[in-house]
Amino acid sequence: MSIKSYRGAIRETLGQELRRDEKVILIGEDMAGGAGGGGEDDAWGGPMGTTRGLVGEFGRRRVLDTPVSEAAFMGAAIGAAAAGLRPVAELMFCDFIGVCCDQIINQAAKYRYTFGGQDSLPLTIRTTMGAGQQLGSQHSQILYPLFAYFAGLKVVAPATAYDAKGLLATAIRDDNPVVFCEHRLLYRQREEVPDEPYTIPFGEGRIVEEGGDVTLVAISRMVSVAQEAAKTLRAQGIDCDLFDPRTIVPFDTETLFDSVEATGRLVIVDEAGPRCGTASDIAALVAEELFSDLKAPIIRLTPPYVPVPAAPELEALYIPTAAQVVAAVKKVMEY
Amino acid sequence: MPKWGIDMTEGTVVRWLVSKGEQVAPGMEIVEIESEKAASAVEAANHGLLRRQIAAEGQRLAVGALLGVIADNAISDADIDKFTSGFEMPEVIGESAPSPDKTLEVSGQTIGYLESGEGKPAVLLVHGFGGNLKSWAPVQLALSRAFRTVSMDLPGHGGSVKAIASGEADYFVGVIAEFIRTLELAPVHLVGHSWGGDLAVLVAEDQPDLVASLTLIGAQGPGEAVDKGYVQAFIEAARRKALKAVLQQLFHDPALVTRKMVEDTLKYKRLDAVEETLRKIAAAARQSSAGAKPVPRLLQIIAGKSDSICPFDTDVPLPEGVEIHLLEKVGHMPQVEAPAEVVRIITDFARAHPEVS
Repeated sequence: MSIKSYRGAIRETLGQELRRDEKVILIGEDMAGGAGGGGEDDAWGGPMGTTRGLVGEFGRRRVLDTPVSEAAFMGAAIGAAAAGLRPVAELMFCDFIGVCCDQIINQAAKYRYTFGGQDSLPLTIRTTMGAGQQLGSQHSQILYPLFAYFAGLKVVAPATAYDAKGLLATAIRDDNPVVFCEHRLLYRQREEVPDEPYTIPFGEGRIVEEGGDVTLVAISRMVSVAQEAAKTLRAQGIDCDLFDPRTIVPFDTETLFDSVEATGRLVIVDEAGPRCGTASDIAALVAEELFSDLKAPIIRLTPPYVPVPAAPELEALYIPTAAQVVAAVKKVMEY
Repeated sequence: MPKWGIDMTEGTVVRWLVSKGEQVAPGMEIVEIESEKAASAVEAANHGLLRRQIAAEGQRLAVGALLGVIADNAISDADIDKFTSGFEMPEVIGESAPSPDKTLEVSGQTIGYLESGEGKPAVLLVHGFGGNLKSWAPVQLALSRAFRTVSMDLPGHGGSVKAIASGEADYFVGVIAEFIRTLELAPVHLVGHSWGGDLAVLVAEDQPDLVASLTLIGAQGPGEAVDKGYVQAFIEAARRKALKAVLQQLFHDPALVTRKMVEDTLKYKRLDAVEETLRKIAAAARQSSAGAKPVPRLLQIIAGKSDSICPFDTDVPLPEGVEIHLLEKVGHMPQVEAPAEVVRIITDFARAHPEVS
């Protein structure tokens, strides 16, 4: 057990899975890095440092640097999975999915179904997402609603280092395609994480704090925003049942429904956009299933319907804040 | 600052009930404390005068922090000053702070343990199946006032190595014995809970000079009836709801099973090697269930009347002179449900038999 960062926990899992199963390979841009730049292998380990040290231990047949062509290497990863390897491919920015859409949406997602379950595709796609570093509209998006739309993909969005490690191990060991979404502002999140390998099942969310007044659902980085809001609210006598689903597909409806049955109120805070997003999906599931238990309309707190701004002042207005969560909760409480 | 409950990490001083200079007697309430889940008072354990009120009303302090000083009239102020200035105050820690467990290598295996208190005699606390040393938290601090108190994580559990070569009792007995020798605890007052109690009996049988006395909690000796259904259910429970239902069977009061307890147990069970380890132990235990003889050793048994896991069986033959303490409104974990009682019973027993220490 030791204090690890989200980034460190991911790196540790990749190493442990590479050690555990020789079929596991890493493939993507700058997975090893460094070759040709000062001659030192593994000078970088990717822009997020999540693969640092791995090419040194496992070599270039298991940690592969690719050209800057998502279409090519995502296709190659899918082919490798079909051929019997267990690839972990990195889509450096989820925003780049545009250039490998067919590979992921039409090939990976539908492979098992198309062949009547005769084969499966043990592929993990790791990707980064999220605003907060002024990287602009093409490098700051949250796209898990898009991944979740396509039946055949599992979609994971851990909010903590402990969850990242366990869920990534589960993803790599899963025989189906999993998209593992890492929020770039979470890389430095630190907490106690076991050194030994462990797994966390998909479809199991986490009750971050218990409370009887309102169910507050938050995803990925919004969990810490919601925690801050919950603290303010508790001081004002409002107790939130804070739920982090951890996986978008499969989604832990059981825990969510139990919570809303008990509180009767639901606020969802999600950094994904307001139209056709995960917040809308969750709200609809609850409204359909628990209509008679609701004491107030459901509130979805999301960014506005606009591309992510690059200017710091505008980006700060884009991302949901704790103050907005507090206001939304008060609104459902006062209904 | 007392520790009322496994999860308690800090408390707030509400008010002093005794003024500075006032006489106190054992059992007298001296200061009111409020923690997240409990509000009660700290009672004096000794006769003396309340010489110092260190903690201020309204102050929030970590478990183990110095609240005040009770001393005889004969002790000088200067001596008390020396004591208070030398006292290391623990920091206020939150729920997710790392636990200050130590580890040592025993026969090449990493064994986690927690040590508190000083001097002889020593008490060794051994947890049960699927548990860890944290289950002793409600009693360890209190016991360490009178004894050098050590709790250990058995192989496959807690902070110890998780993968085990064999589930056989011999293996664990060997590790416990080696642990006692390495820390120079012998002759130790050995306290074992449930499966840990079975192992403690075997240690006393195998290496009698290591053991001063035996206290079995929720156990009557290897071979007696244990609810095998519980063991299997514990191994199989993979999700929160299922595990909560399993853990609730341990207690007279099921409300003691908190979300955190369930989460912590799940986190442990999800470590890679743990499931296999637990299955090995369960399989080995099943095989050796053909009644063993209890040990003619200084022995006492603490059992809860509501224990549904290892219900106390009056038909099991026990040696003469074995002290039996049956506790009302207590299930399989008296150390959690009646910690003060358990501390008193262990302390009295060890003190009543000083000739073996």
